[in-house]
Amino acid sequence: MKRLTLLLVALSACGPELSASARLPAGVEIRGLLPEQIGAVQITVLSNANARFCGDLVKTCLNQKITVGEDTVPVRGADGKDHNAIRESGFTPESLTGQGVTFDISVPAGTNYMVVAEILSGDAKLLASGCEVRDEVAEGNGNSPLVIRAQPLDPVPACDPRID
Amino acid sequence: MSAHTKLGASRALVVILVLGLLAAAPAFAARRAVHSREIDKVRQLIAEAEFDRALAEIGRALAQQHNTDLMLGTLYEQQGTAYLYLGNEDKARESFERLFQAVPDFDLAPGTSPKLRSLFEQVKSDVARRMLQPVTVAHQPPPRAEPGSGLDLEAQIGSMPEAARARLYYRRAGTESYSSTFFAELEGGRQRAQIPAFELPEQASEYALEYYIEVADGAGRRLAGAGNALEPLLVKVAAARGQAPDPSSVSEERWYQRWWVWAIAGGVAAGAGAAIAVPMLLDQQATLPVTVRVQQ
Repeated sequence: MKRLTLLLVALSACGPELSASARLPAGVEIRGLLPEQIGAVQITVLSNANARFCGDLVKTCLNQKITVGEDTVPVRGADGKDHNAIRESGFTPESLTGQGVTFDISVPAGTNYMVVAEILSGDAKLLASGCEVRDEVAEGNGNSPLVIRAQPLDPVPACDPRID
Repeated sequence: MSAHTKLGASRALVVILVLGLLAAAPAFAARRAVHSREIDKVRQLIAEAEFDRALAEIGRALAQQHNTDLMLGTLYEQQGTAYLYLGNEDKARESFERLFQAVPDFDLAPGTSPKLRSLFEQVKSDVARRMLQPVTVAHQPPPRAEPGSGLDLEAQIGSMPEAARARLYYRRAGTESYSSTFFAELEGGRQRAQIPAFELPEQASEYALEYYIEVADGAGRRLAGAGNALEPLLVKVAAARGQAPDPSSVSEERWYQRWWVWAIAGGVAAGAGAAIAVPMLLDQQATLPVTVRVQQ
């Protein structure tokens, strides 16, 4: 009975906060994608963008739609090495849902690139995905920013999105 | 009404109340959705007010070696919740302290009960005031390993508790299970462990080893680490000298990293394929700022 009493006390105090949560602006909960689930953001750059369909690529794990190593453009990581994709973690929920997080991606100068951003959960599930095309990436640091809007996936696909 | 019937009725009421809470607040339930078999089971037990069984399950889950920091944070949060519902505030406090050790910036979901949040915030404040330094692991993966000899790996471990130990987990890339070895202390917080030579056999082709470093307390609970079981670090082991490359190694080495690609590119630059490849081979690196936003 003591346990029941404690639980009743605890639960009875939940009302106001739950109501407040329900009044949060639409989208803060991001239709089932909960920000603190975010484990990492994975960015992959693809060649031959005009031969690809963004809407098709972002419905499931990118690695199921492409041939890693052939379709991917090498992205230079902070370790100075080239990777098929880069993964960054440690974002606050607000950063990804608000202004967004900006990455400086180091790739070979080239044309007809497609950039895919995948939001991974802490246990390596694909929570959201988005992509954008950039016609030309010029040598140096003068390229204008590319904004990718990642759409939450519901249901979460049963695939491992990691690209190594 | 018998005591047994009363107990059954009480439990049923608790279950109804908890289920009602979860139904009324899907966000509350979903925010905790860091998934693993154990975490989901604990979540279910707490929802059924089976706090003792939940604690037993949490104990087993915490002892597992493949927990990520996020999993640990969730397990300690669940542990604190269960203890608090059982009226053991001291143990709940202890759980939350461990939570902050594992995930210093952990926060509760909106909709968490004020009672739970109050204790959580108290502990958070206490931890900050005492300025408990989280355990840190600094490690620079080696660029490459030579076959035929053991691979020494060093890590700089800061604020390591007395009973804690650092362990190295490693495996051949593509295999499932990890082997492990303990780090030995050098000086100045530096520690060293060795992947034994038999794990780095000489082969005609290059291959890779995966590994991660984990500092765990006396009970085997992860405090900090570099890499984890799901996202291990990688080191490539060079092919044995003087041996012809094995065709099976093709997928492990990118085409543009091979010497003969460069040779061909230099000699046959007029070819159509080379015309495409050359800009990349010349390594004209570009920086592209990419902003990622989750669509609201």
